[in-house]
Amino acid sequence: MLLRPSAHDLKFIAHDLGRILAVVALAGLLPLGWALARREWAPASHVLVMIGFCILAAGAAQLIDPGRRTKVDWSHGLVVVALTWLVVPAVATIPLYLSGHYGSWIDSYFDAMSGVTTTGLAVIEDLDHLSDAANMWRHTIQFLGGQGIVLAALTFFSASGALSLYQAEGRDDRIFPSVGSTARFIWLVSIVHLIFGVTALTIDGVIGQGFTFDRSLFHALAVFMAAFDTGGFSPQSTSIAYYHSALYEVIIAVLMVAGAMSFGLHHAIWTKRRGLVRNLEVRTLAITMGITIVVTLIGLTAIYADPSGLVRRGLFQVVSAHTGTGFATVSSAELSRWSGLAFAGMAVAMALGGMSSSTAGGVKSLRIGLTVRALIDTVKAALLPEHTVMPANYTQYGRQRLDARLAQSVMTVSLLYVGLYLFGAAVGIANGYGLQESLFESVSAAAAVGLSVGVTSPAMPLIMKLTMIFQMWIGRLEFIAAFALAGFVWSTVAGE
Amino acid sequence: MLRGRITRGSFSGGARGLLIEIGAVLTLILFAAIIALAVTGLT
Repeated sequence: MLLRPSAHDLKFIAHDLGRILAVVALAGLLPLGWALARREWAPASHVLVMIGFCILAAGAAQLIDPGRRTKVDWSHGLVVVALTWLVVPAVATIPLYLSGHYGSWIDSYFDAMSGVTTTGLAVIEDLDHLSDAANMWRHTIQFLGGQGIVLAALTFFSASGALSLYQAEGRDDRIFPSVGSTARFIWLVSIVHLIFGVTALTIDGVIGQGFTFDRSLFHALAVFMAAFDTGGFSPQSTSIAYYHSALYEVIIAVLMVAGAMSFGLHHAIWTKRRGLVRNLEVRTLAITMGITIVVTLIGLTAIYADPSGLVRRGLFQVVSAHTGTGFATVSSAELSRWSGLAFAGMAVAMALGGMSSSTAGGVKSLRIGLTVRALIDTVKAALLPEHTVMPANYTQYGRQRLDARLAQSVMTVSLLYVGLYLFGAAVGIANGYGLQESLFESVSAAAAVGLSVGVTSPAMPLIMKLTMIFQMWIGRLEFIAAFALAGFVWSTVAGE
Repeated sequence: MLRGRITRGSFSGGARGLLIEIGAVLTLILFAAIIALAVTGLT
């Protein structure tokens, strides 16, 4: 029997969403400040409209008195998170749509969803003439989404049920006993990388590329936010190829790798924890990254004859794909010519993704490692004599037990990702695109990567835009929160 | 106490993390270069 949500439940959801909108208003101060500094008055007014809307909505939500929170269960956290990831892009759309660079509201919502989910696919028109402030907002929402919108809110507001909200956003790590301390550590890691990344990119921009300081700083900030949070938006339409700098690409690669690492791993490294080489997730990511690099490079020998071009283009694209970033140093047209093994290597790299509790998308290395481990255990069990007792353990910051329930949950989510990839590809094929390009674009959207072979464009059919918006949303939420929201909506209709 | 521990360990911890990440990328470049030389040499 389904229980119909009470007015009390709805008030709490509105209350929590209001606090999250307050954080979006706060994030809007960065592009607003940039716009005022650069005297971009129209973009500044667009950002102000959004900030004003957020403050009004947040204020109205805080006026609702939900009463004393008696019990916070998992479903509440899941529903709030699922709604957050629908509502925030809708609000973040305001400055984007008002910029006049989008053909329709759906197009701007597509880019906002792509931003918060750190995907990086874009249907913006004439990106190269977008104002700096609007560009900064695109990258800010990627940073906000990558860090975790709810995590950002929990940094500023205490909430009972914080753990349920934190974990519902797809984070498994509890680095410290409290969510607040864990959130502070996540921000600390991000700030350290921000200082390193922005300084290094700015210096290379000024010295290596002849940018003025403020222009170099703008690009460095934007690229940092998209690289560390594995987003993939770029200030220019030619993505990272715009810079023509090998050093710039290496710095970005370091930031992409850092972004694909779980914050648990960052903490283990910072605190000199031993045994990281035996860590299942680290091993899995190293192995899959190695295999996809080899496969892609072999496939690319047909296109790039010289080894240096092969390494520079092939490696950057695979690292970008595997970390779920989506930066490119080749054009979409050139990427669409990567067929055979190169296509296979790239598609698999995108589908697998980075580490769990990182900013990357995809199935995630831990799930891949556990699936392979469970498969090996099953084969062993079939070959060994009956009644043989086998230990089913794996190493992940200490010895962990791989029981049947964990294996089942891991395989279910992995299978759902495969289904989501195939669903998007089927929609692409139904709309007249080829199998290879449909599959590439579908995996890119669902695994929050952002690489494109040219399918994603303002001219794309509406049904494809809606499908990819859905894929980005549900892929980022790792399914469970989205299912909880569907169950919540159904219970309001059919519950008793 | 917890906050103090983070602050004290943050400088060396952050530097160690960055060095490992830079090392990982340089290893990947070396690995890719070896693979590229091998496959272009063979084909």
